[in-house]
Amino acid sequence: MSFRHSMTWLHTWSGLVLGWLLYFMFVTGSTGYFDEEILRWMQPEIPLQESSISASEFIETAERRLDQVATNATETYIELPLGRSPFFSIWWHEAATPETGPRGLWHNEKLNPNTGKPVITRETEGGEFLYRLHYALHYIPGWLAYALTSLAAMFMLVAIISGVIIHRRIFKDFFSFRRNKQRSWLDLHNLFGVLPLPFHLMITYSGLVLLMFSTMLPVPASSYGVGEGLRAIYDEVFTEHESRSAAGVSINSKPTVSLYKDALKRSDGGLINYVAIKHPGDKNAVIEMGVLADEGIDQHKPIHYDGVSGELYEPEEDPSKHSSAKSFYDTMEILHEGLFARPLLRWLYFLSGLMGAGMMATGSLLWAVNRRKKHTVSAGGVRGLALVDRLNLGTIVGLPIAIAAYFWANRLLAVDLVSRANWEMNSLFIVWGIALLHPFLRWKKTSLENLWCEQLLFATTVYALIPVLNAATSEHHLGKALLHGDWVMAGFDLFMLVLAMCFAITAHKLRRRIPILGTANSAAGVSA
Amino acid sequence: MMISSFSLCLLGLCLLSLASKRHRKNALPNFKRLSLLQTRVLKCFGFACLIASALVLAGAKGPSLGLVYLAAWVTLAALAQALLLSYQPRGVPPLLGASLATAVISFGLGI
Repeated sequence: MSFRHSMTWLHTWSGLVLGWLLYFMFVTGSTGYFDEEILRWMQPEIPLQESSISASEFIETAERRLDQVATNATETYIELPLGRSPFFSIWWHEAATPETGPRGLWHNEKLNPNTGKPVITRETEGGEFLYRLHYALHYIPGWLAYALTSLAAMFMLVAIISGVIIHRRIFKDFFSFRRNKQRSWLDLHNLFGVLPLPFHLMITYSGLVLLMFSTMLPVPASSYGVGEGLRAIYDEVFTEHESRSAAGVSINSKPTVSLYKDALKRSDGGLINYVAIKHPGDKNAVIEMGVLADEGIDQHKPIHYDGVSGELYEPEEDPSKHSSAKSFYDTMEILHEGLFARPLLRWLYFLSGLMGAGMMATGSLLWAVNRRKKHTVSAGGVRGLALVDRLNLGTIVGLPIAIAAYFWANRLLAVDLVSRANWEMNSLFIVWGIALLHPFLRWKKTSLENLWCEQLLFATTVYALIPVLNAATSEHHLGKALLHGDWVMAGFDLFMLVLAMCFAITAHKLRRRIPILGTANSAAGVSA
Repeated sequence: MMISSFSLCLLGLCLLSLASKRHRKNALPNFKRLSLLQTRVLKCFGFACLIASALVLAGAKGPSLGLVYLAAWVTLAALAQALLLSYQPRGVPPLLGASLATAVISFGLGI
């Protein structure tokens, strides 16, 4: 077997074996780039900001509320509805006590941007759940999920590198997509794989690095042991260093609004979207203004003030936390999560993620199409092909249907349902299970193309009706959102319509009986 | 400088696609046959545009964020190019002209 042949074998099997898990990881991971926007849509109780309110007014309102609820807080945090964040919310930290646990407890309240009163929102995990799915999966212990997703990422890395080696004409075919030809699937697979290749390499490698504390546990364990010893070193490296401890002397702090105005001048017109106060009301209070960074890959370039004198304060940095290994880990984390990305770059991250999902989907379909072309498939091969065909459909179209079910459940489940957030999550998996079963149940009654059409048309319907569902179950219908420039709500509904259109176009192509699944060459695959 | 850097990316990829005989015969049927020197000139200008885009982005956003934007721009521009070459190949020369004009104007305006 030549080197290229062995790489082809490696590419095929490393991609296929965990291909469906990788598709799942790409789809759910991509939604994570819009986790806050998804959460905003899933909490329609939060009212629209009706008039132009200045950041200073928001800060004063938030401080009034914090004075009521966070009297013993060791740290407070005000999130302003500016920049990407669609929320006006406050956070406060209670010190460690037997009731709050060894690390203390963070509390959070979302505030009405018009009145400053707390908003009671429905219980939901929002976009965070979809994001977490891509590495922590669900229903299984964390260590097993991390091991599985790391293994998938490793297979992915192998598939990418072997794919580059076996792609003989990577530059000549860089833009090639020959429609309605034998090579269409391969061209599409290459396009989705090669065009965002830097993204694929970065996201796979950084994903492996981020989970290395789970997958390469024996390495740190050999130096620091397991249990408490490992926990201690992990805390030392990753927990934020407190540059100033509380003095225990109460004193009135400098008004936050005046410091906010000063920070605004210093940031040269930059946007400040959070205000954090460490040790509020203490002699050693520090006020941090979160200025959104315009350059580099850091999300914020915070400005610190002494809370009492109001003078600029430069926190001391612990040099042990700035080792090259830690910096490398941080860079990988920042690049993977893309928190620094402004809307345009965020969309491009999302697009690249979807192209990754497309690469996995076309890879699995390509395997099935190529298998079907071989007329000398053994009986065992036909059974394997039939299984792959069914799982391809249940995963590639079934997963988006399941995600739509998560959004539908968010609006249809009773607001006061016990374990509501859990039922939203369960809805996703119940519907996905049905979508996976559907091709198995109807396999002998209809053709593969018809099965695809059925699921694609169902996906079209459920996505196209999401804006209708939104209008029926909240005050934030698409028209109102567009009229008020509420781009988070409008963007969500519009993107659902775009997805519905994509599913409809694919279903239409299949209805025209274009043999895009390769079933025209052999009926063996469908009759198994 | 986001518009100028993206226009430069698009321009560079237009030139690189026209340097390929397969794409050129669909996009520019009257220029099917070009000499080796002519295709090399197209390639050189294409890569020069991509390098210029990288420099513009590094200047505007810093080297780290600039590199991230470059990868994103190249992906988006290449996707647009691939779709155009597959569905409307005759649109490549007008896109080349439009991206050249946009690159010059936006660079002049500093956007």
